Amino acid sequence: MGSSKKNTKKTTKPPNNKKTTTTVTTTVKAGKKKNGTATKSKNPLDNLPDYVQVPNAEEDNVDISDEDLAFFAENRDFGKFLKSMDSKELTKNENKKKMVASTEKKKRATQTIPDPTTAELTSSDEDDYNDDDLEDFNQSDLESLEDEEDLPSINGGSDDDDEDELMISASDDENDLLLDEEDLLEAMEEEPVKKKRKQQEPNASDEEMDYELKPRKVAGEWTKKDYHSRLPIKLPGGKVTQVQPNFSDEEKSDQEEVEEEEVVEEEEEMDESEILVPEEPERKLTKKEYLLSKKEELAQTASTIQEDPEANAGLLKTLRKVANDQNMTIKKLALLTQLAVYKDIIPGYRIRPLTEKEESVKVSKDVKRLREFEKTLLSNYESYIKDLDIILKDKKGREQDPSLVLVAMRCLCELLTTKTHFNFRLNLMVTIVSRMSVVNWNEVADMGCKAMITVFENDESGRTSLDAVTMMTRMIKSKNYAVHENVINSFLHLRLRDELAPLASRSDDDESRGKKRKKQFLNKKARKALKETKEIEKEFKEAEAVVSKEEKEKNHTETLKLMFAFYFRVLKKQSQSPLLPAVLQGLAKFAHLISVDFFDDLLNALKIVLESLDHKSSGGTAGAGTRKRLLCIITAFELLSGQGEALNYDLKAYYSELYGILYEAAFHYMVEDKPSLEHLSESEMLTRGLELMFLKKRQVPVNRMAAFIKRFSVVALNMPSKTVMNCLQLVKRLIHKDRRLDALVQSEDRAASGIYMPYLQDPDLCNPFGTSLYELFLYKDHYDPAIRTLAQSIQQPPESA
Amino acid sequence: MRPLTNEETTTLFEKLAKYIGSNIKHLIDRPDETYCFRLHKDRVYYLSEKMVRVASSIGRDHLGSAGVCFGKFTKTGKFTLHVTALDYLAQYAKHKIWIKPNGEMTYLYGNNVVKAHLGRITDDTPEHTGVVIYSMTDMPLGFGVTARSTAEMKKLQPTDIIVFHQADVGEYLRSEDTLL
Repeated sequence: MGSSKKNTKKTTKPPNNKKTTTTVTTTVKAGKKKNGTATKSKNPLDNLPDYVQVPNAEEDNVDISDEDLAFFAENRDFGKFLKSMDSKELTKNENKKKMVASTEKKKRATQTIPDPTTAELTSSDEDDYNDDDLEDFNQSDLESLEDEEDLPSINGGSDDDDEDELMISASDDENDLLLDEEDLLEAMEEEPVKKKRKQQEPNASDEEMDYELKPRKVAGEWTKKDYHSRLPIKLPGGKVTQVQPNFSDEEKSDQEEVEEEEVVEEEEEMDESEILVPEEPERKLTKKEYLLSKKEELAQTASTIQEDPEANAGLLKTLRKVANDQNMTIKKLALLTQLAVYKDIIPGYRIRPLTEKEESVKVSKDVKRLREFEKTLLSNYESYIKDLDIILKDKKGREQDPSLVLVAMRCLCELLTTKTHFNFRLNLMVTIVSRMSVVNWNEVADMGCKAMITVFENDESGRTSLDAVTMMTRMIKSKNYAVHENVINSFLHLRLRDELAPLASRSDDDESRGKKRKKQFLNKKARKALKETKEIEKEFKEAEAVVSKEEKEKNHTETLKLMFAFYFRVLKKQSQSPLLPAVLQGLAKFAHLISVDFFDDLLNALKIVLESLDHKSSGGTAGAGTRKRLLCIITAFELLSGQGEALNYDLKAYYSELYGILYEAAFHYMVEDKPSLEHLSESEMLTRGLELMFLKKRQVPVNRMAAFIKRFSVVALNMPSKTVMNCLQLVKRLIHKDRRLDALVQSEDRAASGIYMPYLQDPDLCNPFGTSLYELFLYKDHYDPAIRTLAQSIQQPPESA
Repeated sequence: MRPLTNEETTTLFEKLAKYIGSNIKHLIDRPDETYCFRLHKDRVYYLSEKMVRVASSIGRDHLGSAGVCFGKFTKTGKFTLHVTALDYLAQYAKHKIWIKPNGEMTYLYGNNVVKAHLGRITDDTPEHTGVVIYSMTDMPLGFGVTARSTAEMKKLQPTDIIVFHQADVGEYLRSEDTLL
């Protein structure tokens, strides 16, 4: 700070304190404000203890150097101050009081600076601060701090925020300083908590002045532009005034606390995109006041509704009215408030419209109240959803304010995922699905996709999944398959596999039972009694609300049908489509659920696709075409591995394809490169394909196996060591599996006549037994010791035949 | 010993193509030596060029056989493949069928293959093509002509014929005299 800065002791904690790491955040922007001692929580009040835990200083660690002692001797005042500190007072958790007091809580999503120093700063700075300094802080100063756009609030919440900034701003400079003082201070240190500045003691003369800690304050005049960016305007009254550009961040002040923490993130985006509105100086205050009043209104209504939903359902309308406000902030806040309110008050059952008969019946007051409430709730909910829908569909608005769209989308997704059972679920899904249909994947679509995945995974009865899948397939069809593959990937999360598997076994039992049951002779009375008991049982079952297996099965079957129809369509018509990898993955995952009859068609389609794909390679690794081919091959073999074993097909074409791809792979130096988290690397796909082809199958022609072994031991000579490892292990397992392959390793008798043709692309014809695995000798000298041992063990198997 | 005329070559290759398809070129362009077909007493022999030169020094009446006999031409000019060609057919076969152990014996006696004995079959085998028949241990047993395509084979009864018998290794015992 200044040159007069002395080597003062700071009552700061050295980095080895055991305080929690969630400390005061640096940037002084709208974001989550974390108390140095409290952990982040939805309701900060709960987590704040009354007294902050103070770790005891360890006496052993204190190393007091001579210099320091000398310094202390000189500056006795400092020691005096420290002694007079009141530990109790310091450790009292002031923030709790503060949080209770303030109605506006601005949470900041900001980065954290290195924790220890910040923590220390909090304590020390408080002690150091003069009240005077606070008054100096005004708007312009705040702006001049760090470069963030978001500035702290100036009204109510300013105290907290200011503290943050001050501490943080000083932190960077003070880092080095602090570390020196650590040992000194340890003995005398405690863990003071943020105190209200007004209660701080006046600083000792030798301590660092607070003004030294603060970053250089640039006076308002300096930051104020000399020039006017806007021309003077003429007011209605005839006066001509100069216009000051209003900083957008001012509007950030005094944000209401909404339950969602991410409100603030959206507000941040909003800030950046908000247009500077030229305002007349006279109206500046009133706009803020207007914001403030709106927020208070929202908060009031929300809390009233939540207190007693049934009585105050009418207030939902007021919330909606607020949402129609012009101001973007208010709009977003209103939407989010509504979301929070609905999440709380929506009951756990689906409200069905009352029939005529029920309406005419006279009911008790309670029931009437409930019905009224339900009616209002439904109508308001519907209009709310309509509003959200309009916002999402509004193209013009989207350009102007993308964050509003995001907020609306988030509301929709939250409603769908948490209240899937409630009415209007179809409307919600329609909107979300239509948003997901964009080709250029954006955040909105991503959110929608994630919501759908959550819905799939939480769906117990299968009904919701069925609706969702119907809608999605329809949408994709209407868009002519020009959608992003994430949409298809969401299908992979459907819970179909586990549910339908024991289908075969169950049906047999039922059949046998059906045949054996004879019609028992019942007289009239017995029949009547049986009927009644059956009805009662049915009611019991309904009350239990257990999803019946039959219903689940039905839903799942329908869903499967739709999905596979869609997959087939893509396969048959659009073999060049970029959706192909996702489709193939889906097929492989769910193939065991469809009837064996379809396998024929499926294999045919796969073969056609395989042949139509191209053979180029790109960028040192398999090109998109080769990747698709590998996926095709893997899918085909997975199809045949489950139920398809009944089909004794020998997929010769696929073997030849893989044989060819292996050869090309030798030239791909990036064969282990994973293009993205979802996709496998080429080497992994090759290994998987080889495993499926040989290890899972019972009877593979020896010639073919031997040819593959020979080829990939040759090809692996050029590969990185992980691939080599995989290949050699595969070789070992195959040789172990089939004794005849031993001939490749032994050199005793001739197993075949003729010579080996290495460049032939057909594995059956290249006469592999005319050669041996000479490469093992090369692998014995590999740089990787694991490979060396593996090669050795293949050549001389432990059982030593 | 004379080389084949064009028509004879065409007929021969057509017949071979039914079993090995385009792999005929592997029969001719072998990496070690060039092989060729020669006709001797209506039988087609497959031998290397070196052997042709040696065999041509033996008189017509004294030459029994040279190389591998693939088959013979009938009086009307049709070509029949003999079981002696099995080795090469098996090596380059395009469509293969594996039969179960319980079906081997009956096939080796000269009967047709029924669906019940089918172990495995190459994908996409069309109707009326030549297939080579293997045992489950990948030992070539003979060859034949398919009665149905792979897809239709699923719907057949177990007693329906799927492959018509053409030649099998049992012939070495049965028709010892007529083979050569």
